[in-house]
Amino acid sequence: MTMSYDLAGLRDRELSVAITGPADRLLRDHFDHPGRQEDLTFFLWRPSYGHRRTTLIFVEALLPDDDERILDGNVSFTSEYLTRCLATVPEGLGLGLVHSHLGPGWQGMSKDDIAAEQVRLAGAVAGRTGLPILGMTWGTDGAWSARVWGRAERFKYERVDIPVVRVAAADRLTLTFHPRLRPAPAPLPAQEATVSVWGAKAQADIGRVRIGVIGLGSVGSIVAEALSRVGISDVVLIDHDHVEMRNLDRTLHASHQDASEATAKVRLAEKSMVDSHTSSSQTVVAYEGTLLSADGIAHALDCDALICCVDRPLPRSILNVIAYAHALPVIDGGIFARTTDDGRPLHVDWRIHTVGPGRACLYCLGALLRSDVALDRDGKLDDSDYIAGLSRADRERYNRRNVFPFSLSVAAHEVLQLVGMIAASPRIAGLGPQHYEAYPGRMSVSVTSSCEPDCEVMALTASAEQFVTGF
Amino acid sequence: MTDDDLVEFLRGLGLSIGSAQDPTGTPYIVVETFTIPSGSLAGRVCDIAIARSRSVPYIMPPAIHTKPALVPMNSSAPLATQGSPLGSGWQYWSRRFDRTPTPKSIWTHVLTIFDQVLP
Repeated sequence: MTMSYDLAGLRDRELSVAITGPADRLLRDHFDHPGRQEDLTFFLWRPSYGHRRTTLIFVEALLPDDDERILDGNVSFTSEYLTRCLATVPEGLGLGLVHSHLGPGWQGMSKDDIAAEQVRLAGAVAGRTGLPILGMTWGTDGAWSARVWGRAERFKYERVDIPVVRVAAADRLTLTFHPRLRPAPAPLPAQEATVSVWGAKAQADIGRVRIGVIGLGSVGSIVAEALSRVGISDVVLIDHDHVEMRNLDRTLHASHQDASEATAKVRLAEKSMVDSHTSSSQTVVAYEGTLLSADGIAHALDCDALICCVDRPLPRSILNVIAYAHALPVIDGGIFARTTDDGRPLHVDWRIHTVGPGRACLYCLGALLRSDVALDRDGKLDDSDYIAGLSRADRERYNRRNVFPFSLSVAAHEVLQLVGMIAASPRIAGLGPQHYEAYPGRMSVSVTSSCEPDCEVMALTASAEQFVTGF
Repeated sequence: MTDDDLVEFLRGLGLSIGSAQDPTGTPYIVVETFTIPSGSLAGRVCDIAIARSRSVPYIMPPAIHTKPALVPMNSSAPLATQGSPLGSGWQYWSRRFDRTPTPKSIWTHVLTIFDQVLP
């Protein structure tokens, strides 16, 4: 998969833009001027390829020197600044221009804005980088608007508006939708009680965000139902597995008939979501395949946020990397249950956390061990002889002891973390990673968390690394 | 980091680096004729193999391999060793690695494995 500045190709793909929280903050500070003064900067971006969506990931601002742009209320860049930036762009990266406006919300373009991007930049940037110029505008409320310029014919470039821009920050997932391409859904009677809690503004984003659910088993089947009920209308489901008799005590909506017919878990979840959704319409892409493939990863990259409902270390490690490399927040949960030799409960706990730019990754949270990922990758976790040789503590970690009420709790908190992140409200989902201990019955929260300075996952932030080789 | 970073680091230590492949086609980095510097195995000479890891980010394999076998093979004994897919004469040392992978931290891990062998 490659991207070009060809107009037809740009129109064929769904487009989005992703910015990390630190980059968003840097730009916000850069645009902060006393009085009514716009500003601008060039920046580097990198394409991230999903199955149907290409996301343009903001990599780095190439901030102007004082003499490289002209500030007179409006703002314009000098040819010297453009020349410097064009010379800076590494192979495979694109060049963008972002400027601030003095009003809130999605921003239209003035004649001067169009002239700058269409006339001064589109051809020069396409010729230098092989990629389209990405134009962005910042509104005073933090809203982002974006477009690329595609080559229609010689010396003629046309605008392609981008439907959604996401900012993946430590405390929120901010989404700005193009008001015509992705209009806010009308208030619906079926969501009245839900909206009364977190408000119409949050619900307007919830109704348009695309969420991926990876794993449609015990936790994922409940997550899917909850998403459908709260008004998520655009979903990607990923699971390669089918319903078996042993799943019936913990998979929502699974029946004996599903077990005997080996119904695919994604099909079961898809059907229940279509039946139960509260939106005016719903789009469900049910990918019946594994995340551990280029196609599976590409389906995940189509989303604005992911909910990880798998317990195997290898897919969780992949989602851990996606969260940073593609600025795509991942909400993850895990259940750990130990029993005595005679089968009585000894210790049960579960954790729920969100990973992504500005937050601690699964390794740094202690929620995933690198060595477990290595064992899973090498097939050792499916090797009964190998498992038998492990210590009791290790064996217990690989036992998938899970019962429906545990899954209900984890699923509920995963969905609450999603809603809290979109609504930017710690009053919904708390302040950070959550850890529930069944005895004595206590939920604790880690208020602050960040990766270790040398964390190899954090180092991949905004890299759009595809990491398919090796799996 | 990458496999190549590890090879470069090991060569920088003055070690001789070769390669091997098991019957499934998995390639390995091999530190050849390495003299164990300390611990109960000090002075023993062996080849040390580490499976190549192509994933990004790098994932340290769950074992190292030595030739010859340095301790009796026993997967359930504390040293947790067994036969290696690399073939006759090779010993598989199952060891967890949960630190940030860097060439230096991986080589420290390897040396620590030998240091942990009690007399």
